[in-house]
Amino acid sequence: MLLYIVKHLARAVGVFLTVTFATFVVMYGNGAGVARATLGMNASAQDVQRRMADLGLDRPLFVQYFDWLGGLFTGDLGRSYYTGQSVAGALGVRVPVTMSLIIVTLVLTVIISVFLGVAAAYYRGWVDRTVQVVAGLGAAIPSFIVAVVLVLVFAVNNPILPATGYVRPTDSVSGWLASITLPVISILIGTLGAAQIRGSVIDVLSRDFVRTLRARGISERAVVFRHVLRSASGPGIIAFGLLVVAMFGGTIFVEQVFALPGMGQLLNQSAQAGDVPMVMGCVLVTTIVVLVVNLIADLSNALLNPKARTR
Amino acid sequence: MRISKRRALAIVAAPAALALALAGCAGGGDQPSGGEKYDKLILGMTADLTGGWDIVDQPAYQAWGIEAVYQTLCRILPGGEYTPDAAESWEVSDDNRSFTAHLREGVEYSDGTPVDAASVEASFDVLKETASDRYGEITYDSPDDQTITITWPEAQPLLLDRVCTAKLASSDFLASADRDTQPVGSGPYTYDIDASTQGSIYQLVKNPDYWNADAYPYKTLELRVLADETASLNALKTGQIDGTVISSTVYDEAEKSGLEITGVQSGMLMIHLTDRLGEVIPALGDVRVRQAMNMIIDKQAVVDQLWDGHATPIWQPFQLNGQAILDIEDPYPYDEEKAKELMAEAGYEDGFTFTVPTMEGQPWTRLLPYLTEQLAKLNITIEQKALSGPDAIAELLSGDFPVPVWQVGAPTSVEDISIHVLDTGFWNVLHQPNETVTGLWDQIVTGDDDQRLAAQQEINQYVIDNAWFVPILSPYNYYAYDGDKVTIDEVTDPYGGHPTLIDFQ
Amino acid sequence: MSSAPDTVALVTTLAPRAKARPVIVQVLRNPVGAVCLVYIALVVVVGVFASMIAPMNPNATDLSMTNAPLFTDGYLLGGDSSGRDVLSRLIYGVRETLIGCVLVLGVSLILGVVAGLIAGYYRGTVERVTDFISDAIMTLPGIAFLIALYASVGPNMPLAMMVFGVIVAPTFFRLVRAVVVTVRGELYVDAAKVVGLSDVRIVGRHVLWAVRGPVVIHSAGILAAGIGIQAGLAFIGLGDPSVPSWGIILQESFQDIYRNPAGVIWPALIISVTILSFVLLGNVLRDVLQASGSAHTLRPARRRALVRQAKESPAEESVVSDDVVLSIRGLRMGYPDGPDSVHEVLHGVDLDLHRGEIHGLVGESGSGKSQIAFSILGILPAEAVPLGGSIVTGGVDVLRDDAGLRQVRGRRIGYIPQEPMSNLDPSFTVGDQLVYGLRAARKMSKTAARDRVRALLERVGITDADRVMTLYPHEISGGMAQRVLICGAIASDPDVIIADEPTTALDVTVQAEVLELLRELSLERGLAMVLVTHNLGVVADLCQSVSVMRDGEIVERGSVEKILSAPENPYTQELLTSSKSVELMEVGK
Repeated sequence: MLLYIVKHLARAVGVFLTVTFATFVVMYGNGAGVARATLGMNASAQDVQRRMADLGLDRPLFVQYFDWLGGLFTGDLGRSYYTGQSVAGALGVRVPVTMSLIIVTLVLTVIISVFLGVAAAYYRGWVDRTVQVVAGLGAAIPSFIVAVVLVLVFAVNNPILPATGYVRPTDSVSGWLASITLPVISILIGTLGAAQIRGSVIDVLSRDFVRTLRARGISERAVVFRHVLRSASGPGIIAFGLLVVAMFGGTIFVEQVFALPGMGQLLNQSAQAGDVPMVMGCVLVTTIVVLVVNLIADLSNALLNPKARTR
Repeated sequence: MRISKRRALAIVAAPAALALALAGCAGGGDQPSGGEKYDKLILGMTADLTGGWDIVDQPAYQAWGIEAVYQTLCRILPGGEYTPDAAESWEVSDDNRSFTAHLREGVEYSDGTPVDAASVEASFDVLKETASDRYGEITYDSPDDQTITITWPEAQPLLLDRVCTAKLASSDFLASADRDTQPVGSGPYTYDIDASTQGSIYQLVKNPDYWNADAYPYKTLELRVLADETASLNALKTGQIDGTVISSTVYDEAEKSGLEITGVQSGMLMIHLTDRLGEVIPALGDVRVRQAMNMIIDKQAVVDQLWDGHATPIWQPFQLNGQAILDIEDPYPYDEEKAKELMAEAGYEDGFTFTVPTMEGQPWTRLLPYLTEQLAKLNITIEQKALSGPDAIAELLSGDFPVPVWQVGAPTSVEDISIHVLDTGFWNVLHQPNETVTGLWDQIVTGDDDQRLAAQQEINQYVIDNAWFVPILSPYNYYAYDGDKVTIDEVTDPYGGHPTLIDFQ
Repeated sequence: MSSAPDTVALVTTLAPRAKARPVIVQVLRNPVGAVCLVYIALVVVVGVFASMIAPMNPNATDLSMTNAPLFTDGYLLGGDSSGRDVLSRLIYGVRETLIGCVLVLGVSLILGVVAGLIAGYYRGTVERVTDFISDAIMTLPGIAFLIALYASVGPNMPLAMMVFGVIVAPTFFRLVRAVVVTVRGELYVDAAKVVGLSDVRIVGRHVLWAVRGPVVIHSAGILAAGIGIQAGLAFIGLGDPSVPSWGIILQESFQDIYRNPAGVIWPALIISVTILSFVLLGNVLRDVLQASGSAHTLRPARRRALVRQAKESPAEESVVSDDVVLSIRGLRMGYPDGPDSVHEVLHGVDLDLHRGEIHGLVGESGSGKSQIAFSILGILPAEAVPLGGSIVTGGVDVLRDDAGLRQVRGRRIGYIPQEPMSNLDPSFTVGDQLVYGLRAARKMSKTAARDRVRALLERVGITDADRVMTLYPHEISGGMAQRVLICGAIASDPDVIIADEPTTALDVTVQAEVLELLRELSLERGLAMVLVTHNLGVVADLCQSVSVMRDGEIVERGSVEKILSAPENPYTQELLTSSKSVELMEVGK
């Protein structure tokens, strides 16, 4: 088991380096433009040169990348080219916002799609068809449209929930819940459609051992929830892992509509402005989260499905 | 939804357009400001401060935070008036090269150091470095702590504007490394860094020692960054904030919701025909072609239909309240037939093609389809190129696009001339020389008040006669606010964008 | 693979299925599939012939039509914020949108499928490397790349869609690789290799064929995602305003949402509906391509009627005596062969089982023996339809009394299945499964159950019981697994055991041991057994009485000695003759 974890960790580090370097390469190359942008339209060539040197933008690609990488070990993620704000500081404020959206949505997605998937697979017939259509609809309507409709109906026209803003759970749990309800629903509607549970449950239900379990006198409920789900969980867990990646993309739209000070917005603005330190900071966070989630998914899978441990 | 529109107000427009509009909102307590009326003023900003709290030449748009924290020597008022701030009084030399300020006694920065000549010098030094084209060569002379003279090597027609935009900060602060995050100024408010979150909420606390403290009734000022216009309107409607800028498209909606709206007309949306010598596009070298382009646009219809009446058609390339404005009728009224005739006369009935640069978020984009269609009637084809990323502004002004469509407008006509008429102006992207204009400019630089006025108007007449531009409209800029809480009697923003901090009563 | 008939094979032999129709026809027969396919086809046609269909040029501006409402003057869906016709723009927008989707699909398909084929087929380093690259791509925040792309080259939807195609290629890769790995292990691929087919041919012919189903289904999903991402990118401002596309139209309408609220409806609607149709099409394709053989489903109402009829029909008198532990009368059941009809598979079977009796149920494949076994236990597949009769045991008619069935199953009646490896839950240890199963049937503490299970495991011949209890099913041999299953069957001390070909899947040497074990257990505990088998040798060895089945009926019944030495029914005679040479030799009498 230990070897399994170590192997996976080593690989994860490899992926991390690849991803961050790729991002750096894509963002690199606009030093002069960024410097000029920070100074204003009137900047002279000397001003621009001076600013570039200040920001370290005149160094070659690899030097800049390794410098950034080195900074990681000391916790120094650099400063924004534009506002001089510390990247770590900015992330420290924004990441919890985005993560609270993602985690809550993920938990709800797992619970709801397991129930819907099992119901659809077990009862088939009209239940199955309804679930599929509903899930399909959810996947079809873009999340930002849902978000706008929700805001109009539940916040502006009928002030039940706040239209914008984020309340930290440390300040007020009820306030926090109120501020993330609509955003979570917007993302949730889209993720429900993506769950794989139905297919794998159908698959497992037709297996021999399920029949034998029934013959042993085990109750239907135990057969489905204790046994079938375990075997069906493999593809589902992997799917949920992938979902987290997709959700990071979804938060960009939702954060905009609800004016949530999250990482998605930061990434959007920074990428457009060429603010490399900020972008790298965001990518760092997303990469780590995704790798951790996948690691957990793989471990859960190994835990639940012993056969998978032999990989 | 839409990232907020980037206002293109002369020099301030570009950096604002590229600003990191860091979205954010709220923190605890969304109480609809109950309790004491003047306890707290919460304003929404659709874009974050560019460049943090540093005193570099920031765009003045939505810069309430900067206004709150820093003083300047003097303040610019709409129409080209100036009022004292840190400088109690001043003199301008006859040759328009020097400005002598007499500083107020006993004023201190928030770190306790005095507002004296040394700190003023240090503040201007920062501009020497970062805006070297405008301040690079200045020299100082201070006979005592409360007096300082700043001198430029050449006459400055915009002397007062230059002097008034420089923010004053203590020398210690300027020397420190933390200029972006913890401002130290002498303005009406001080920055409460502990209660703030960079990029989303800024808390400012009233400075009781400010010389004009009474003009700022609110004890606390909170600025919330809400990058999305709809989100910010929603916040205003639900009472989370007390005011925000709005675009004309949501005017009706804001009105319906019972909000007060104040509007200022400012800016000129124009087509800049910068290739008057026909170097890049030969057709544009003929004045008749340029005149035809003026006549093919039905400005009134554009205002009525596309701007819902929230604008005024213009035919002079200057601010309506500027000194250069002439009392004339539209020299090129809408007349499609006449336009076609002119083109034929000039020998260009086969037309030509040019590329218009566009940028995400520009409010005039909705004009493009109409422009395209109308110019097509003269066989003039418009192609579009969307500019993006950090190089966008540089590309826009590089001269690659000799016919940009853009909204410009500065507080004074003199500044307007220096920006889009003079060959050195950055909106005159091809920088083609013109003796008449340059000669008249000299008159502005060296002449007395009457001569300056005459020169400005002559320049205006000249560029109109030669159809250097296709002026289209001057829009209204709106600001929506909670009328029960806030009173705004006048808008003193020289750029005509929105109420300045002192306007909130 | 086992030779016992599973239900899929059964259905196909008894109810001869019509030759499989081509996929597209099957999709069209599904109402949802038909609607989706037609809609998508329509959209494509509109896109291709946009210039002929659209009422006007998408950029034609009429200022007086700015934000015009529906049906004004030739602007069927109204005007947008610049005075252009919404309908025409939507029609022309189809092209951009479709091109974008095709690019996403094309790039991801080619990259993902090729990589998956190569990695899955050759495995080893190639697979490790491609796997790593795939993981790295999947970890990338794709949106960040698309935004950065926009920042450097400006709006270029086709390019962005190609980049997006690379970003989603790993999903195809994983899918294809997994299928290829499975298929590669199939015997027929090995056979092809032996015959000398080149790798390319093997891959091209067999492997690609196996992969087509999942790939087609996934493609529908990717097309849906393509539309969604185009709309999303335009929404956050990365679209190209000079080209009409659905995303741009949506974004522009959002900007003017207060001046023209209705303007948002049309682009939002068309985007949602089109995505929905791709998603639903994917679902239909999945059902069609991965159908578990039931091309015939009974209408729910008809099923209910039949079941009710079966339950209410008068039961024949069954023998009530202490000696008869299981009594079947007139058992009829069948499988659907259409929405309203059922093909009968058991035509009225009678059977009495006495205490301690081992009764063999023989017949060829498809004769219905396993159906009887499943019926007794109530573990028929969901498609099966009971048509009448009664099965009485322990005073309960399990066919008509569901509660009674649950009472009896696992407690009074035990089950030994045929295929040992696939009948154990792979996720739980042997000990866990046995203990849980035992406690489900009989109330007892965990420790008591563990002790009992341990003792039983030793009884069935597993010497190192403690260690085996900690093992997972994939860690034990076939023979051991069958013993575990036997243990599971008898743990709750039932009166009857239904054994469905318990030795068929075992090695010859192990077979003998297991048969011996069954005999001992029966004697020890007075277990009655119904032993389903096609092997007369087993019957001869173990059973006291035997029923011979043919085509869903018992054609002859009697004691083993009688049937094997002097069968009366001609079919039985045939059976004996053909098997004598093979099977009876194996066992000997």
